[in-house]
Amino acid sequence: MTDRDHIVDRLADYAVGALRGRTKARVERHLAECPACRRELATLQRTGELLNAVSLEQAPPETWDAVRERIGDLRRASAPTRPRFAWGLAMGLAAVLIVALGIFLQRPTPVGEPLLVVAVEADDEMQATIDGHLSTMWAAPLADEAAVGLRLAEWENGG
Amino acid sequence: MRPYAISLFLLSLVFAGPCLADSTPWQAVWGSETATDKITMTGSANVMTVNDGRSLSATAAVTAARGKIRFDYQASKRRWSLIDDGTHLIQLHPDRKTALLLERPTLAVDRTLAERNYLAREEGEETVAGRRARIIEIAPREGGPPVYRLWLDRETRFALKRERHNVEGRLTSGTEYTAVQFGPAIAPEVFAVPQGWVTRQPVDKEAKLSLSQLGARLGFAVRSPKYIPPGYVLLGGYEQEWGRHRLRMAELRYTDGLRVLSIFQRERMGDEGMGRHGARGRGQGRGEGDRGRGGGLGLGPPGREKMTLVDRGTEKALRYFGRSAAVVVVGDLTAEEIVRIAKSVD
Amino acid sequence: MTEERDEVQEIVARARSGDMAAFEELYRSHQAGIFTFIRSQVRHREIAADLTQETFVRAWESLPRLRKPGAFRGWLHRIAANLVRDEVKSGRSRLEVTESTLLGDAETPQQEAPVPESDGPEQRLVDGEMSRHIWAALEDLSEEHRAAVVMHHMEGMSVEEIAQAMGVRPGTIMSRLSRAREALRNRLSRYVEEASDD
Repeated sequence: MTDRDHIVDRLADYAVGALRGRTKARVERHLAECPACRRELATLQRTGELLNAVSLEQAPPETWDAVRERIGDLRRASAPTRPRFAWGLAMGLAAVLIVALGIFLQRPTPVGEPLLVVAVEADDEMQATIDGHLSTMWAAPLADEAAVGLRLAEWENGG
Repeated sequence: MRPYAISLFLLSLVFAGPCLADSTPWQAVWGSETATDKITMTGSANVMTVNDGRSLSATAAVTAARGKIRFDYQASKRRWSLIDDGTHLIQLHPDRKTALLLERPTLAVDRTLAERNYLAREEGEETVAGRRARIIEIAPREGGPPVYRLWLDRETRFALKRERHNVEGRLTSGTEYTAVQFGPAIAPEVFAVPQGWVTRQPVDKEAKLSLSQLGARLGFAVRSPKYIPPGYVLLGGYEQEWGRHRLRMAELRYTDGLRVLSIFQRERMGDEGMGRHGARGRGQGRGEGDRGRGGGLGLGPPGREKMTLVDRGTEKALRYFGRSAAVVVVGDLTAEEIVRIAKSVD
Repeated sequence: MTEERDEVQEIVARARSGDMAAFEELYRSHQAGIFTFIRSQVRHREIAADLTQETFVRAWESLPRLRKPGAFRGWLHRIAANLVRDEVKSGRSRLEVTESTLLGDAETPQQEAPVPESDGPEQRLVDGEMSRHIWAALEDLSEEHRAAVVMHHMEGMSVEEIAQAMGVRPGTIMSRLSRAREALRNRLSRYVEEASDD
């Protein structure tokens, strides 16, 4: 009885081809003797076949035209598309550029050294790590919970 | 007359006990951390924080009792609440009648570590919310601007005003009570989600893992940084999943007693970090306008590896592409320190 | 299989040097797979189309930096997966299953006239209703499991290819496929169980 339970758990693994060596042999031995498990395996295999038969969906026909046009733009353009920033951000940008220059001037970058880029906006990955760090700040000793709470709310509200 | 005076004197001893003990600054500080464990408090405060270069502010009605605390915020027309009940951070949205439960991270409070790395100095007295408050400044022992300035109520040690400065000495958050009352009766429902509200709770629980456990879970070798700023110790490793699409990263979390340093890492994919330019628009006429992607501004020739630094004021985040890992370091440290930490990982 | 790989490599090589006709060939052969993959993660058709467009534009830009031209398909999926991740994180595409999805609405990926996969081992037609149910069942899976199923069963990618594309070990992909198989076997029981004698 225990053996059968064990096997039933591994049937899906067997069906997708994930089993090897002794485990695989054990399952196969059991299958040879157990019609119920053979039926279940067949069901699992049919599931796979069903999925194999689902057809792919075509992208809308106008997609290629859009791709080609944008590639054309890229080939023609010499500069990246215009970034948008508000005046406040521009001020911030000036400030961080000065910081970046400061870092550069202090230490000349040898060839092969990673180049530091100071970003005004965090991309989603970096924003996620900042958000993650924020929640640990809440629990830190002496943390200003009220203020951390303000930032947490901004995060939740998509601010 | 005399017996009256004597009993008054004795009575005042009972209530003024904590003051007469004349605690050291650190003692007073730790006392403030547990001030509302035994007493109840209601009050209102002005709250301000710097986020991404912008200043956020709100007023908050605050309720505290039995180690739990609740903030009812109001900013412009928005109202929302935050409850810390000791196990969860609960965000309440009254307009939607929904609550979001976040697991409250438990950072073991290591007082010895904090006292080893920081000094607590007495800086005088002021009146806050009509009460006498002792000003205590906490600054790194090795020198530098103070991290915290606390105004602690003489009687209860409750922090009536609190200011936080970043490593560069800039004020990054402040909370100041304008009115406060100690001792009122507070119903336990105050710290719970109201009846009938919809509660969302992300399933992930934070479990502390070892480096090898993290590596096994994530399927790549999780590395330790070779450089960590002096005073920081490792709290633990965590597996983090961010966003709906669940980007998985390992987090190594460090603290110096007061500040938290997080080092996230994941496998570097393909051609990442190879001179990609950011701030590009996407799509055509989708009504979203040109939305920057990647958020980087290339300051050098294309094709070279990049590190991206974001300075939020309250903390900085740096992403660095090593040989095989993408590393993101988040903490309140100087840019140089953060770069050094990131590079020492891979 | 190896012939296919060599062919792709050759086309990729031409596309890298700026041959637009070659890139269009790559587009033609990979657009349905990418669109279906993206659509399985992002419900809105328009957004999926937009992300598909973006995937190929980025592929064009980064093609010179593709180290292994033979791994083009996996690499392309990686670009698509990153875009989907950013999109989902931005909150615009919410993946909660609603009742309308379960009952099968217009948003669920399906084709009016299903085309049988000429490469598939089984020449079985999956009709409209079955297709709707299969997609509804896929919605119940986590994004990772769904992605693995789409890439392996519908696009015919090998476990190794998928593992490279998603940045995980092949064992992880196997495990996802296995768990997905169990879950789908139950959800799709009416189609896959034998007529019972009970």
